Amino acid sequence: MLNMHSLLLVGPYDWDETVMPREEFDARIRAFWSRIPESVGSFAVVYGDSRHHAELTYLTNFVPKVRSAMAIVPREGEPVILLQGSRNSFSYAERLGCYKSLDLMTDPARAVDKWVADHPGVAKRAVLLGTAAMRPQPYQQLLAAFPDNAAPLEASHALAALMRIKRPRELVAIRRGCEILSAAAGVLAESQRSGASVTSAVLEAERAAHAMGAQDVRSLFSLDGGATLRPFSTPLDRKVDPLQVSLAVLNAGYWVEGLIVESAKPHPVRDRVSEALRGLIAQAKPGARVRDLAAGVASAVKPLLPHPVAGGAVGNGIGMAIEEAPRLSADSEEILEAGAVYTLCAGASDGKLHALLSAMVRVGDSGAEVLWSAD
Amino acid sequence: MNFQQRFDAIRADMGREGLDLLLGFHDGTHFGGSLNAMMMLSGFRSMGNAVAIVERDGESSLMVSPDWEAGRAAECAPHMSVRGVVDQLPALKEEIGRRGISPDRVGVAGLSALPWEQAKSINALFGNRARAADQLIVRHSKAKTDEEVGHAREATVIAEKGYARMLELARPGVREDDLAVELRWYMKSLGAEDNFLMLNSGPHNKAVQPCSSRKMERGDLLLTELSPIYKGQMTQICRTIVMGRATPEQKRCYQVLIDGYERGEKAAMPGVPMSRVCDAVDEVIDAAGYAEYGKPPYLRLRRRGHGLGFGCDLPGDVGPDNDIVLEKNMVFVLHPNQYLPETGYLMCGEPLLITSTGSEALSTTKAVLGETG
Repeated sequence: MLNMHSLLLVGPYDWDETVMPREEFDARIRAFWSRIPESVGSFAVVYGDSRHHAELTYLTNFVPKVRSAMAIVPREGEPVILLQGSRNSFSYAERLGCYKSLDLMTDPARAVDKWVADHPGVAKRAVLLGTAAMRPQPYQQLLAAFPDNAAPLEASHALAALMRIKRPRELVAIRRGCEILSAAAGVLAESQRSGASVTSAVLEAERAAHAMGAQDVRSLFSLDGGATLRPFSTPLDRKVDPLQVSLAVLNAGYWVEGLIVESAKPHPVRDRVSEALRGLIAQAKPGARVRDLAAGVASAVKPLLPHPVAGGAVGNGIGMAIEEAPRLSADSEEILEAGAVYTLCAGASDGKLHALLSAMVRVGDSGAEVLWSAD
Repeated sequence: MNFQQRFDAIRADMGREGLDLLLGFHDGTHFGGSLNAMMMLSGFRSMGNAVAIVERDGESSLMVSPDWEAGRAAECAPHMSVRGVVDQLPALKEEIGRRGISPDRVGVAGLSALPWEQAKSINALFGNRARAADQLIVRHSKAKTDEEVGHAREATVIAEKGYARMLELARPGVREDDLAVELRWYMKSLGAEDNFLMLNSGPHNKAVQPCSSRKMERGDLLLTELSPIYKGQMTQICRTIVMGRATPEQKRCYQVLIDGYERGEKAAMPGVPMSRVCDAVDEVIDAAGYAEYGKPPYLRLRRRGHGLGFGCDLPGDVGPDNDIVLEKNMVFVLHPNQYLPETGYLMCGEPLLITSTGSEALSTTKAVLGETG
């Protein structure tokens, strides 16, 4: 779910080779290049910023904690991370990625040209990754590196297909993320029960997640009974019941997400949504058509109305981005894939009571393995 | 000046510039330092795509995605009618079509802060004939409204409390990451909706940087920029802490920066170009024998501070080439931070408010070289 990101990322982002050894990144890079013909690309120019960096992080572990960075990832040889600013600020950056070659980037095209000049055996055939998030000026500057300013192939779709199927080490990180989410949700519930204000409850949940090693925690909460969600802006004294919250936890580069409703009172809409979520999980098998899943939830909550925040969708892929493809919407032609991880959600409203609940699942060969559930 | 007066002034300028419609865009990606045209027109900090639509003589509206953000947007922008939309571009096309305004009389702002393809699509919507209107917003946003000044004061209170907490928590053996996470959380609990929190340590730092997994050691210098944002207004204080007791050399060097700061603060007043403030700092530090360390490669940018805000960071850098003339209610951080060969990088800085007669540091306690004992 869309949420508010921070200007500057703080938290344990440094590369931990015990969690993701270099061989993991080497294997990812090899797998990516195996999908791109040699005639199309000999190196990839990868863009990332503090909000959008899934492609960059997947291939290098590097997270731009502030503003943006790029990497050149060749078919053969060591990637190089390109940074803005000054070489005096490289020491923190050296810890972030698993590849230790850093260079200064004053201008993207010059950086590409310099890299090509330094690698005389490499043909100047680039593919681009993650560049949809680039701002107009740096993007135009980057294109100046290529003949006629023509954009090379944007190959993010090829990488996304790889990223969708989670590798064993990725699943370990996601499972741990779900443990953190579970603990944070427990703190949220306990705070709610003990009479904490809405923002205090959310902040305590965030703190609990950080204490367990989360890199980032982003929460949204509702002040209108669960009809809409909002980010923190200032501490509020208000206690709310029901308390609808979205908690997103980042662990070792992987997001997990939970939509939670806490209430001390009977909540028939939540009960109905909970039932719909269970049905959704049961249907989540390889090859399941997304539109059928969405229709199943809509049918299960009838005569209740669809939840306004869900917008007819029942989740999305999740991993290094909070919202990975595919979006599980009612008009989708996608199917669920074995080996992929999804956040599945069900929601409904009767006009007064509203509820959104979710689960993290991995689709296995025979069905969904529930990694975490609000149910 | 209040928000409505600023908004009215922007609208009045639309007529002078031959614009019937002004559109301010943002996509919810917040880096700071760049114009958030939508936020400057609406007061709304979005998570996703949003566009403020200002008619010269008619209604003003705000279009936000996702559509369920409309309620929060309406609270932030009571002067606008708010519409939540699923997909911005078709909805905008319909809005523009309904008005029937010639593209030549449309101003667009904030496109440079959007993803390139989105900016291209918006330009195409007007046949690439809409006019860039960023400066129209910027020139009315360089001085803060009274409300923004109040928020800057509150943000500075939070920053100072954050620093007090930092002095309690910073100890040898503590990881920079852990300290930064705790400080960020603490300042959030005090009302900081976001925070540009730089923090790093070492025996001889070359620059301030984001935190890492490094564990602090006795004798280190811990550098920090604490920059909480309160209701859309960013502040910044810069501080240095010795992990242990400061040496006489460290104290002497730090005093050079303090003296530079004091000279700069005295120079900061209405009617004075920003470059004069920078020169005042440089004169002190250069006279102490550190001129070569106040420029590249030791100092990346020759600047002694920068504008503070969130949607707009004017009056810009406290730099030797910034000729912007200071005005009442401008807010910027003055920080003579720099590398000194005896100690490494040192930091001290306060947020300054330009008053009608001079300047006022928003922090109640100015920087001293901190010690953990």
